[in-house]
Amino acid sequence: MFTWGFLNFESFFMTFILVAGTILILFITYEIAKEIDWTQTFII
Amino acid sequence: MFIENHIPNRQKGENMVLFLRRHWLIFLGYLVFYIFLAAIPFGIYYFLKINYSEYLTDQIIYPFLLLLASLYYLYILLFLYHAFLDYNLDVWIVTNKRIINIEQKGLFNREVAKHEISKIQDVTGIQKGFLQSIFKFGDVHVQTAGEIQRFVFYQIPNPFKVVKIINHLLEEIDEKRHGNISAQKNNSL
Repeated sequence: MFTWGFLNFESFFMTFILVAGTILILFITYEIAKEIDWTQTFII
Repeated sequence: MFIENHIPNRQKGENMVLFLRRHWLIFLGYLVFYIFLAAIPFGIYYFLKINYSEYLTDQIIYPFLLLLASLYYLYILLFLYHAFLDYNLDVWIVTNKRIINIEQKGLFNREVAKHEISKIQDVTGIQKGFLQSIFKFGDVHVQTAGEIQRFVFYQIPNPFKVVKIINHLLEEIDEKRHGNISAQKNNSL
């Protein structure tokens, strides 16, 4: 990814979008998920 | 290393004549498609909010939907990157001696094929359909006497101009060859 990501501006931009987007999605998921009470038991 | 100025295994006296990629409209098509896919979960969210708002407060379904949406967006990003790599790293290079066909297959497979210009037998440009006519892009089919007999430059801009340039290169090589043969004949006489 680093080899091809620095070939030109477009590939750098797309690699940046991929890496930054992945981090952002994981961060938002973590932020929302930490509000959930994961200790509760599943009752049918 | 910039791919735009790089000829793999450059031969002596070899110069780049054309550096070709697919037309930008092809990638734009993928981009619009993935933006549309990214908008779908928002639609589902508002649908659930209006019709089944209890699902969004449910202790089991809500975390499940959240993780599902997160996974979905991660995959969309990955597929978009893959589409870009396919567009950016599929390259056709025409030099004064060879045609080099570099093809990216998936994320980790790369195929490089080289063809001598002198072995080319026939070059055909094809532009079909409304979009290709408006934006001036299409395919170029090259017939060679080499190992791979027919290969294609897919969806490149100005295919007829490319055909003209390759034909011009062929003529130049033919002229050189005939020039050498007649010079040899003159020497032998």
